[in-house]
Amino acid sequence: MTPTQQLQVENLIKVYERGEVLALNDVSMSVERGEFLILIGLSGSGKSTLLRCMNRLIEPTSGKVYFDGIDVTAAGSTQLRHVRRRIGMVFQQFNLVKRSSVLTNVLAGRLGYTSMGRSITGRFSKADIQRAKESLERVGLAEKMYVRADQLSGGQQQRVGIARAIMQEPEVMFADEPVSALDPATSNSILQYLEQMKEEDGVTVICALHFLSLARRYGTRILALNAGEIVFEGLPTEIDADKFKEIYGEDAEEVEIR
Amino acid sequence: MTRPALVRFIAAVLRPLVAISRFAGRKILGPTVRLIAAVFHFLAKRILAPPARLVLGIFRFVGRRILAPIVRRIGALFGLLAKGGHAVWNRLRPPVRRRWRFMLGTPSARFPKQHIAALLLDWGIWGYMSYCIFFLIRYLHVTFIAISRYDVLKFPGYGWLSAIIGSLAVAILWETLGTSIGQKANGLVLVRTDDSPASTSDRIRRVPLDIVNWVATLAATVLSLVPFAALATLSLNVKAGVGVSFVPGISMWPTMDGSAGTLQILASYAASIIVGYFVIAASMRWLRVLWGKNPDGDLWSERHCGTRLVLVNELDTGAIRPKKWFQTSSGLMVFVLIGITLCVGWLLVEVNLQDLITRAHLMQRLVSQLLHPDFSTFNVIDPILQDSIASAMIETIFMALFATLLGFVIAFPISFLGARNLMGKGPIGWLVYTVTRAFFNVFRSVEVLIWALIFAVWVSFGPFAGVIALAIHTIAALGKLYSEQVESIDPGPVEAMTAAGARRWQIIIYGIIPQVIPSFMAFTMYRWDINVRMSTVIGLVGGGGIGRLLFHYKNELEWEKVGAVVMVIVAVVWTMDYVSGRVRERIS
Repeated sequence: MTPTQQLQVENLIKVYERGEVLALNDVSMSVERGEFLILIGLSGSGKSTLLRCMNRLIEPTSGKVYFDGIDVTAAGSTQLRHVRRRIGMVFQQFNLVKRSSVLTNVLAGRLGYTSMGRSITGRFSKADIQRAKESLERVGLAEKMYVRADQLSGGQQQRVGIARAIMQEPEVMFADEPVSALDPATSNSILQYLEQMKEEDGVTVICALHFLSLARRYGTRILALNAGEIVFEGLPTEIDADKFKEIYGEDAEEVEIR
Repeated sequence: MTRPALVRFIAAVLRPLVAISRFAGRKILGPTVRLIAAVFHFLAKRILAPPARLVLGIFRFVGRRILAPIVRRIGALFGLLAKGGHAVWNRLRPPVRRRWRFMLGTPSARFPKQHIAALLLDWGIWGYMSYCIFFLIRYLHVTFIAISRYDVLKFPGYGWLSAIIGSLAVAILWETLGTSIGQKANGLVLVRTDDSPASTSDRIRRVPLDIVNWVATLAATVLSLVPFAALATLSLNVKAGVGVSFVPGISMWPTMDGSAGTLQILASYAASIIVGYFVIAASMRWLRVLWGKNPDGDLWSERHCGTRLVLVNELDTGAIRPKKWFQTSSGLMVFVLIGITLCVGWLLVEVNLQDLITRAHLMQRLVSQLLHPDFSTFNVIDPILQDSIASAMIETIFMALFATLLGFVIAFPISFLGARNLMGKGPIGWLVYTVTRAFFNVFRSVEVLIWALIFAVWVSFGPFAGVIALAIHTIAALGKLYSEQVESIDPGPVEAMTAAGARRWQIIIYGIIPQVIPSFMAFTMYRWDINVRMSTVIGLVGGGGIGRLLFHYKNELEWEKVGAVVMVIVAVVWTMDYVSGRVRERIS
């Protein structure tokens, strides 16, 4: 592993026991530091599974994942937690605790660094609370701090999700279709926040997306999956009509989203 | 003597010798040998040869016409067997693709579980049916046929056995048709091999063409004759089958002394064969289901009838119009079950409408007393009971409150151990989960009144026993509700916090508890409501509270005071009900 490589995946295979689905079929790839890597592919092509296998939210069936030289697949529970708290993650369904306040949700991103006593009593350190306020300001939601999460709109909830990830001060951001539940304008702003993290903090971003227009705009590199295999790897500009059909199938037609 | 003289002399001597031997050879030996040869020739040709030819002919015939075909046939048979064996082996040996699918744990590999569940359910249903039918036969017989000299319908000693096995057999038959309730409940459906829905004739064709049925019939005919028929024959007093003894007057039917008639023995044979057949058919089917050799269903009938059982969610059934309930045998069966339950229930609980009307005046007096309540001991201490209604009621309310709080405090932490999604997939997690759930189920299934009985003996009569009884039941009941609530949370926040590197208990505190708190509160309020109602009667068995007064006044036939107690209980329960309802509304 060269020093510029942030993540390396070797021969990753994932078979879902229940549905006898081969979700990932011998996937190997590496991610450089400071990249904005976009994963594209049809629903069920293995984008989410690949992301979740990399921080072992899903246990891979076989294969290796290295994060910054650490073998994630062989890590014990403590080491795994330490790897996980260096990786921020945002989700398609935002995954906020709907009944808790925005501030509590954001502070939950800091749990990996919080001691037992502080988290049981709910007394986060002043520094953490300050950090939470700053990250909420960064996503423009400082005035919603004490509002319950389910009072917010979809776009606002995803921004809270980003603020929660910022709390981890991550080196890598995983985004699992972060804008699929949002309208096009909001989608753009969410991706702008991710790009901002990449530009300002040097965070490596790996983002699963459906819209090619957004992928072309924000991605520095694109990886296309089909039926659990990498079918394309290259620059966003390299995807032309033929490549598109190769990735999405013959019947697909590219839809422009602005 | 000269040499020619010697030669001449020798010649003269030998010449007659030669002549003699020539004569002997020609005239004596020759004819004799010829004669002997002729005799032998005659013997061989005319006497030995024909039988030899005959024997040879026979041998040839036997060899060619009898032995050879047999040998050929045996050879062919072996060839066939070898071929058949190969075919059977090919059937039994899991194909590579199937093995691969099995290793992955396909839905098909889970199939035997559903099949067994379906069979158990159907067996239960038919067991219930057979009990009801037997009950009705016996009841109707006693009621209407008692006028005949045969007073009761006797069932044979193995009647219960035939009922158990017979119901299993009918259940299996029902499942062969592919229309049973059990199959429906477990999502199994019979389709043609091309996944189109099976028709009625497809279903019926499955029954005789099922090779298992044939083998079982054969084996059963032999096997069942021995024990069951022996039983029926030896003990002539045992009446056969389901007993058709109420047709008197025919000598073939059982005689007056109760011994079996000829027909009855024959019927017994028949019944035995049927029972034995189903014993074997059932056990073979069971073994096959348990082994799960062919998880896709019945391969033989699949081959012969072109149908197979599949899980309904593996099919595209969206375009098939679902049948109405009365068009399916499972729907009709439910209807029949309801009907027969009503009939049996009516007869079993001895519904007596006459009593309901003729004894109404007794009730009238009681009600009038209850409606003129005597509140004299409401806040005045009853000298015998050393208690007043008001203080007993307050005691009751506090019993309920205390038991609910105790239950909440204990059930809250335990409930997380009984949540499948928190306990993970490991063996230890599974054990903890199972033990916790078993604890909840066992302690919940024992009624509060029984707990109160136990603790009234243990800690002596009084409110303490009542509180412990209520608390135990509350822990179990709330624990189960809580656990189910924890299982049904939105897993998203848990996933997010796991991804952020949080520990498991941090996830519980920040990801799960905020989600479940409102429903926990609602359940607790609801339980408090139940506990108030329960604590009013718990005094009946020595658990203290207002129930003690109720029980005492009832025993003393002081119905006016009973009326007073009941009214207080109604007022309190109603108020609690209203309050807890409003609170629950606000929470959720």
